[in-house]
Amino acid sequence: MARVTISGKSQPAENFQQPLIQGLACATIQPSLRSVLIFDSSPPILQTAAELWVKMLSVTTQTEVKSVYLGSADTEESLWGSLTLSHTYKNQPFDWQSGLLGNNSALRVIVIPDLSRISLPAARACISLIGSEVAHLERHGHQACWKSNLCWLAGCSREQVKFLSPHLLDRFALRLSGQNSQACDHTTALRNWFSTSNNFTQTVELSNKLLQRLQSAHRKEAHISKEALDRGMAYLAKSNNQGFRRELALLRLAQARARFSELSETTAQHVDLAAGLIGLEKPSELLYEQTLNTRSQILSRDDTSEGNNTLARENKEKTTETNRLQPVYPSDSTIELPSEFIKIHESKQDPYPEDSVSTEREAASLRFPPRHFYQSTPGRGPIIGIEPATMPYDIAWVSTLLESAKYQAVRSKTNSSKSPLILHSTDLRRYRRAIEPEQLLTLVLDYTCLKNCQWKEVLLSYLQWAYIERASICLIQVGIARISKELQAKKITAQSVLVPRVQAGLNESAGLATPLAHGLDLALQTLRHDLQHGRSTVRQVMLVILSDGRGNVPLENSRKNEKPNQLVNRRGIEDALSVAEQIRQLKQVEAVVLNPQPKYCKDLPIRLAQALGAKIENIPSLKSWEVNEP
Amino acid sequence: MAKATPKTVPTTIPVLPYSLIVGQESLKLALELAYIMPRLGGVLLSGHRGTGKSTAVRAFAQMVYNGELPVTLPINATEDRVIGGWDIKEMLQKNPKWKDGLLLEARNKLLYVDEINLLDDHIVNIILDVTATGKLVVARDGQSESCDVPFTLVGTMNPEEGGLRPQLLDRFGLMVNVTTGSDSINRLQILKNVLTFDDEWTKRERGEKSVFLDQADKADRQLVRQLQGAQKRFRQVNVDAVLPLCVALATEFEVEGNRGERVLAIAARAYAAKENQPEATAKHVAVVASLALQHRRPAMAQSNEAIWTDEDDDLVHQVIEGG
Repeated sequence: MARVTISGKSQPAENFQQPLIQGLACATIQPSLRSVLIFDSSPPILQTAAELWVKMLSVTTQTEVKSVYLGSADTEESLWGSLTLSHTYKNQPFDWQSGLLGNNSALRVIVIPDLSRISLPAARACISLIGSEVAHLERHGHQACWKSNLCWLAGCSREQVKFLSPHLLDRFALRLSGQNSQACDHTTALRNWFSTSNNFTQTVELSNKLLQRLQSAHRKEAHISKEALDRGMAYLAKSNNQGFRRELALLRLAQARARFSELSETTAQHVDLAAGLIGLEKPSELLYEQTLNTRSQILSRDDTSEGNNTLARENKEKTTETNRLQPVYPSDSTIELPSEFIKIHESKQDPYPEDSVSTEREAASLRFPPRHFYQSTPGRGPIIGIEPATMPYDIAWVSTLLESAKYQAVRSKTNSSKSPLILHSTDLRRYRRAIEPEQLLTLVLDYTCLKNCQWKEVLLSYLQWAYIERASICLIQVGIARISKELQAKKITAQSVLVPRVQAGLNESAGLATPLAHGLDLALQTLRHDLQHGRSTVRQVMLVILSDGRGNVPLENSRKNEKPNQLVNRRGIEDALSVAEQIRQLKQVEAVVLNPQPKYCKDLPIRLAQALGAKIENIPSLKSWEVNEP
Repeated sequence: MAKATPKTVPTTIPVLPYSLIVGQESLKLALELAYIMPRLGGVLLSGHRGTGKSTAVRAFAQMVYNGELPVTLPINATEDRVIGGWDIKEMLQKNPKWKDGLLLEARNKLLYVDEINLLDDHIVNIILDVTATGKLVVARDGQSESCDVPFTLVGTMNPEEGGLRPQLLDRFGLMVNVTTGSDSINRLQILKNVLTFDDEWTKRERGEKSVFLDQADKADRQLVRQLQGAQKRFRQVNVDAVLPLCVALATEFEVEGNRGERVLAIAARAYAAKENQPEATAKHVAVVASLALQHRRPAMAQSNEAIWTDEDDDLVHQVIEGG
């Protein structure tokens, strides 16, 4: 929620050709584009962009524009508003204090430094406000309806997109890349920074040229031509986009681009420019058409240009010379292959990465989390709001006092006591907190022993337990295929079993190595961390190990990721048993070994269970006719 | 409880006129039927992002309520604003005065809940109670009263963010699975209308005349007159002939309870009134069957999205022909 104050010497932003500056300038003159998402930008770039945008908006609207920062700690009260002590104590001691996004039609830039770390109330506020014609507020006796005039600027790493709701991402009309701006000579940049800044802060100023362009484009209108509409649709025809927001954003960006070119009509070329700005790939049909046009232009130029003719003649002579030196024999038969367009343009980064990444976010991630016990709250977990309390736990005292303050005037009339504060149980307010799971399901799954046994049926009951108890999950994959470090196990953690990556993780196929000892070691580290470190909320752990116990990678080799130089013998097995003994020492862990009943070394799963002090459950074998023979 | 006072809504908010919405025939039909006969019980619009659900609802409300936006229950709403509470300003002045909530404000109107699947659980419970009984019972803060609150509940949701509880789903008379067609001519027209609206709205804000918007307003007014006519004709439409068909369809689609067949019959009657027909026929039932039945099928409990396929349409026709 910090507001940034930047002071110091200025750095003029000159280059309109920079996609980031161009994008922000277009969003300045086109209100429908005022929700900008910048991928992979560093915090200073985002800060500079925010400052630039504030200045651009101030220039075009002739009003003071403020910036507001949203982060991971914003609650519903801080965003929408709440009752607070009045600064001017005249008639009433309390006032409604509007929140960061609350009832205010003033133009503001809302900066979200990292969209993936935004608090849940803030994400919900984004869903309500961005792109909406009208904003509504109905909270704590306060009612408002206004035309929201917020400009949104968010940063996000492409790596984090898979954890975000596509519904939230879709609210951001304009997608830009923050990487291009970083592609500069770092030494020169550092030297400039040292030479210009003496107090480690700096201001970005708009150059006069850019100011003039902005003011001129702001006054201009550019109607969309039919060919621009067709071109806009062609760009997004093959995307799995169901709505119209992307087409509209592209066309509006093209329109803004045309206004900057001081033209009264938006053409297909402007759409191409806009698409290039956000990183949209040109559809292959359009590229083919463009190549044909370029070719015909070159040919016509060849006809008219003497110089080019000379060059062509020289080239032809050279080719003939080469042909003379290297005899080529024609083939006996010719095969006509289908023509294929070769893309010669550099690959662009998709502005809509959410279409192609695997979904790894929480299920229903924009909903307030469900609660197991309404009467109590653990007093942990990030605060996401305030709610009425029926039990005196985790009381939000300020909110409680403010709630009671509303009624003091009336209560003092009816109460004979001289008490300065009359508090009723209905005034009690407590913190509403995001749920932190108190149970953990740790699953060590050895994929090399799953063949020929009904493991999914047996595992299901444990997954159901995790779902019912809203437990978090830690899946440790031992011996999976297609892994960069096959001598090591891999850990996947999630807040609940409903997270799609857990399901995907369970369906991996088996690899060659079985780093069981490393898998158990990962489990040990996880359990120690979750049970013993800091203010951990985990109270109970269910450890389920599905393995035949035949580990074939010693722990040391797994840790170093080095293939053993000599025979392993039983070292992989013994290391696994040794780690299992350590897990046994941990309290609050209930361990179960699921025994796949292997044909050979039948005693190993039992020895593993003994080392862990675990219960053992046999997995029924598949009947022979159920096994897919190769 | 004080009589609900109409909320002052700024008229300067640019909302695309209803007549400029291209395609989305099911969505428009559902809203219009719910207006003709509010007893249908509301409309749920479920669809992916950017399909124009919210715009359609706001445009419809603006059209039928003389430029007013619908009474909106936002996802930030607290309980006191939904069912009502003491007016804080007045309380601080030692003058206790009750302030009605949104449920009362929406009396005989449209109550719009955007992103209804993101609504807090206890607010959903309140809405469920009120829609189940048609009565708002307030028993809090020393206040104890009850009153009738007939309103048309319209909700929009994106199924990607989770579904609704079956109890709440059942409260909606009609449900529309909103999709955007792949017809390029329609898509082009939608883009044209939206972009032209942007330009023309700017013109109007500058005080200039906009023929484009004037024509749209005229078309809106004409449609409202048609709908008001249908509202008046509703009682005259004979629905007896299709009642057995409604029961047969509800049975064939394994709809639980009786609400499905009732809503189907009312919707067919409202559609006949809209079409200016004296009698509801099998044709009318066929058109509204998906709207009334899709969210009441058992499969809906396993999925966030209602799926109505071509096979379902074939089944409707088979039942009609068989009857």
